[in-house]
Amino acid sequence: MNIDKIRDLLEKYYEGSASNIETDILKQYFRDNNDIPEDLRVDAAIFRDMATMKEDVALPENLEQLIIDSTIGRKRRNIILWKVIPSVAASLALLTVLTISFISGHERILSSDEDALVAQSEPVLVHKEEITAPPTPTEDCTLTASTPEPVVSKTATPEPAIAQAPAPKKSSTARKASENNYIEVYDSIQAAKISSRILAKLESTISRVADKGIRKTEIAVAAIKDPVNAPQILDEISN
Amino acid sequence: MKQLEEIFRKRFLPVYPKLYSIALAILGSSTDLASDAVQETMVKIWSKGDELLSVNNPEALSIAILRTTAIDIMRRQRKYEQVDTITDIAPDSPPDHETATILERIIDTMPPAQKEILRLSIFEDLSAKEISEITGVSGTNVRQLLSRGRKKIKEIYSKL
Repeated sequence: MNIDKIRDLLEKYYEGSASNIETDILKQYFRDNNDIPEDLRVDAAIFRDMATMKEDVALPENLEQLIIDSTIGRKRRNIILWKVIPSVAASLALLTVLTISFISGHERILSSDEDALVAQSEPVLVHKEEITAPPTPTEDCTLTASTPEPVVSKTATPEPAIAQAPAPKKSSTARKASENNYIEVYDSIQAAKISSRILAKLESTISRVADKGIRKTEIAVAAIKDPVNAPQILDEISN
Repeated sequence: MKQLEEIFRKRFLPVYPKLYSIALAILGSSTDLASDAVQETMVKIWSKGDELLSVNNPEALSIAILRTTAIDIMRRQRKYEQVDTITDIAPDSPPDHETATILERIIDTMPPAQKEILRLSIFEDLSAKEISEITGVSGTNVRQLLSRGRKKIKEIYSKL
């Protein structure tokens, strides 16, 4: 390579207008030549240090394997698990929430003083549907483990949470809107009666949901044990 | 599925070393963050599934995804809300002064965009156009920043 050509390329390089190929020529020249003219010594030092900087970029040894493990290596097993886990997790979460609210609510109703119930003057907020029509049990298991909306509240026996009957798939904005469905009950006896009715319905819901949840868990375990027939096994969940 | 795996292995997986050096240039000298960026990028590519069968330029696609992934990682590190180009973010990784070369130290004193552009030009053989696409800086500005950066380096080296 002609030394004057090198000088021309260097000028382009410092103007930022040298192409990839031209920069490469410069890199090669400074790498392969020990006999550098005096006026190019500084440039040679820069190109040498740039080459070192590039060489010092060491690819982590395990990176390729990490990539394979998180891509190609993840295919089959995880597709099955991702179908199963949401419905099982949701069933269990719902079961847990309903159980906790049922147990704590039930204990408090049983142990509360009847006088206290009569004496309370604060109104109880009860969901309209509890008074008018029986709520449909929550079959669709898409609730997460986060706290459901409080339905009955402001009494001496605060319920931690009772799941709202309709459409658990609704977003939080929809839940806020449905708070308008609450009415106030001032008669504490009536409030107690309504509470008992809610709890009885919860009890039946829990047993129904629990059975279904347990069945879903069994199906999930069977699918994991038998991946070959998993699709057919999983179809039973939707039945 | 087999065909997809083959396409991934042959066309996309081999790009990962280049992605790593680009990630390093963008994220500063943190090898962990660069590894994370590359891994996340490859997972995103893999999750495209059948789309991969019709990709003409796997390298270009991979680099584009790496760029947004690296910016996300920087955002997570810095908790910035609005990021359009890499100029908005300075990776917080001053070189270890015991092992950093003079060159690395000079580059580290430069403004973020210029720093990234110079590092990209050193780590990888990228054209000004490619650097422009990665950094979001216009082609003209890329050339200008390269020019100024390289002249500054020469100025300092001349005095040593």
